[in-house]
Amino acid sequence: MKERSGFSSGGGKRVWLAHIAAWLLCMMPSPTMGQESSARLTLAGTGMVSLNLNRSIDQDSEAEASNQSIVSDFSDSFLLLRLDRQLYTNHRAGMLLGFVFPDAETDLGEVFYNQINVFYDTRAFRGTLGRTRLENFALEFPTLREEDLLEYAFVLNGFSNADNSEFSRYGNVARAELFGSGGRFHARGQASNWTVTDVAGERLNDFEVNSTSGFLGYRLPQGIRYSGVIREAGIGFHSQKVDLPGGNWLTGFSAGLAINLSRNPLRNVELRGQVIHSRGIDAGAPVDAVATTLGTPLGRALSRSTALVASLRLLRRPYQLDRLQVATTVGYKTFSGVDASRFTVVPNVFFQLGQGVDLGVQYQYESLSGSLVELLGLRRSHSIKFVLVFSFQSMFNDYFGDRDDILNLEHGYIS
Amino acid sequence: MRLPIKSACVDESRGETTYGRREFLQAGAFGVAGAVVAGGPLNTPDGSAEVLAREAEAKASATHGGGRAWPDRPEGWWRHQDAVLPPSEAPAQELREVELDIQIIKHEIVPGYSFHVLAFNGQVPGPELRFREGEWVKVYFTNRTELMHTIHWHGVDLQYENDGVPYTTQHPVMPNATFEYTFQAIPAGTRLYHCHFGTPLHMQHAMHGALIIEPERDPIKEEFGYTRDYTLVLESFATNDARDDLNFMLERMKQRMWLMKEGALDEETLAVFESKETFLAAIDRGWDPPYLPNRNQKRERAAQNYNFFAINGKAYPLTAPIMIRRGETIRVRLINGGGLTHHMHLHGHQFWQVAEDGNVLSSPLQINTISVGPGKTADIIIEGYNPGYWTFHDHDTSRVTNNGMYPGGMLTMLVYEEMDDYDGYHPKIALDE
Repeated sequence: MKERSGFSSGGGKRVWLAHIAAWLLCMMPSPTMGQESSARLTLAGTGMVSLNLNRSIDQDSEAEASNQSIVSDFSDSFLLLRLDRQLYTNHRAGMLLGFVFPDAETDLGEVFYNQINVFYDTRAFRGTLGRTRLENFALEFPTLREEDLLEYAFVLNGFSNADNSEFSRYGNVARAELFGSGGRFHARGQASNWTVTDVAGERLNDFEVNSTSGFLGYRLPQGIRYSGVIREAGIGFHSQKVDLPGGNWLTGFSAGLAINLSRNPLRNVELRGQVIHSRGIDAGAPVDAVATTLGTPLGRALSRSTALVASLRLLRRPYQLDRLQVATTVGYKTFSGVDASRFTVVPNVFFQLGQGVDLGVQYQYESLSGSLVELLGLRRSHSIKFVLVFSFQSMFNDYFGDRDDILNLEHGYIS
Repeated sequence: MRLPIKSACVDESRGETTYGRREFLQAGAFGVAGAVVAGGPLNTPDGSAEVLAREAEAKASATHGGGRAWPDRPEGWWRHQDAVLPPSEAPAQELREVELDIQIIKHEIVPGYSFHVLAFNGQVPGPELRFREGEWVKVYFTNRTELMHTIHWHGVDLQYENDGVPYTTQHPVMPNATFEYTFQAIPAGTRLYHCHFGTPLHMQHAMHGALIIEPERDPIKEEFGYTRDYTLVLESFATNDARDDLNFMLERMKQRMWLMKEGALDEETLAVFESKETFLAAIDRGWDPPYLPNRNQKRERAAQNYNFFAINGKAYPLTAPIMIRRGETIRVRLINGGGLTHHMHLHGHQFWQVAEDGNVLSSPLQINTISVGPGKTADIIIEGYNPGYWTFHDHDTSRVTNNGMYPGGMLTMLVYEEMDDYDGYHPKIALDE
């Protein structure tokens, strides 16, 4: 794979993250100065173990040769620690430290540190520096795991040939967000480093800025999520500086809309849809074969494609407590210039046994067509996942409010 | 100019009267004990042994002349009215009309620290209401929040449907609705009003205010001749818990309002039942009441974490001083609008407690520290016999703090007006000891 350069291509390459971090450290007072006030601490986590029954059918439709497997899967379980405190200016700053358990087939090891960042927060601004979500989508969808829809609901990593979802979901970012109307409207700009791998999918020590993105969004704050018809909307672009003969930039666009079909807080019905269009690079150019075949993660990321995802979710909340979720998500992706497309449907049901404890079952059907069938050796797949999920979030030493608290939104912001 | 302090001042302003009062108290106590023991179990149509003992005490104090007895009061003054008149008896022409509303505001308790509170007419505490005893009052209460509220007239003898207890005497006042409370202002005394819906949150943050019912003849005024009348509403705030609770309740209530508008709010969602039978029937159907651990959202705490304390909405150093002149007598009404007991101690003075819960004591009690529990009121008389600057504070000094920093909170000062001319030590503002 071609070595890629960062934005500062001339002269010595700067390790931008280290520079900014060093500057921040210089600006911060020594931890030994004075008496330390306690930080606000939020501890959150999810333990999620599913029993997966998989059946895949290969390309030989006549023979319908199939593979079946039964596996236990605890991937996407995570633990997250957030510490933040009020500053002398009444702004806030904090850090996030978290890890997720990746899929066993990814060679990422037992855990993957998906959140290692610091942030600076004011009423109208948030700056984030470090590893976190790449925010390379417009909306989230109600599937058991994010990776269930990786190929449909995310702008894929144009630097990675690794067969995992983490490299397309997390990266190192320098992000600035502006908020209006108490967090309802936000504009986000970020420069980021998406994980770079070699052809074999091995991670390279390449931490230079290699992409940018921008996003304009609207979101009803969580506390008033049923109070309007439009729940979320947004549009964004995501540009990866791949520097390949077929093009320097791999640019994708995302747009999404989520609406409350029913604003009933006891029986909420929500519809959401998203489109991601990737302009791809010119497959006709003399580029690495890996980059032109849809049979590899990198090839699919670099291809011109359009992905549509839509979901319908019914949430039953007797006594205003979540109890039952029934959802169906449909995804379709087509690749331009070649005869290739894929389709998936993911219905699921989750029943809350108690607060934070869900028992669920999810079925996923995926169908490939065109050249994808041969390249991936797969025509159709079925999977059924029986899952028990335990999740929690506890806050300690809670001594200041948040931007989108109802009090701050509607009764005057307290800095 | 140097003012004489200490002994010289005591001679001038206390004199024999104060000393005599102490003697009287001792003599009076013996007299009461004697009456009860000698008379044995007393049984009269008018009251209990306790009432008669109070009468005997009053007589004894008059007999012993060295102290002050209350002025003569009509026969049977302690009796309650036989029946409380319903609002329909209110004379329309003589109704005193009052408008109160409730809002959520940002309240700055000390410079640099604000939090959201529930405030009557946008004030903390609510406006002081003063009525004449026997006066008929109509209060128009408008709810300008998205929560439910009522007003309870604490210590007032009124017709029960005006008592302001949600689901017991009335439906709660819904957002944007106005409720009319009509009652006769009886009995006289220092009382309070507060919200009785979600009381731990609403009353303590800060839906409370002073309600003063003035008698035609005030025995305290007649006996002590006070010239100034101060009201101190004592408050304790758990600001972080309140923020959490208010956000939670606003979120929940917004959803309930939508359901109500759609006619879809049922008793199980509201957790309000017509009767014990319907409640138990819901339990049989598998309904989980909100107090069970599996539904106990946002209510992990067993107690509030109080972090700010105030007098009349402000914490030291923004508490207003109590002004007095040498030789002057003042009345201070202490009203506890919060959820903690406050032990108010006045330096350099022995004051008289003259009333509790708004009702005149059988005889004044001379003390220097007075405990005022939640919902309690106490009236004290301070005599200006010791010029200076005298702190008046909760002697549970954990409440003399602002967010844990001492001094602060429930701390004010008795200040002699003459001290402006005094060239000795004058108080500073201390914030971190």
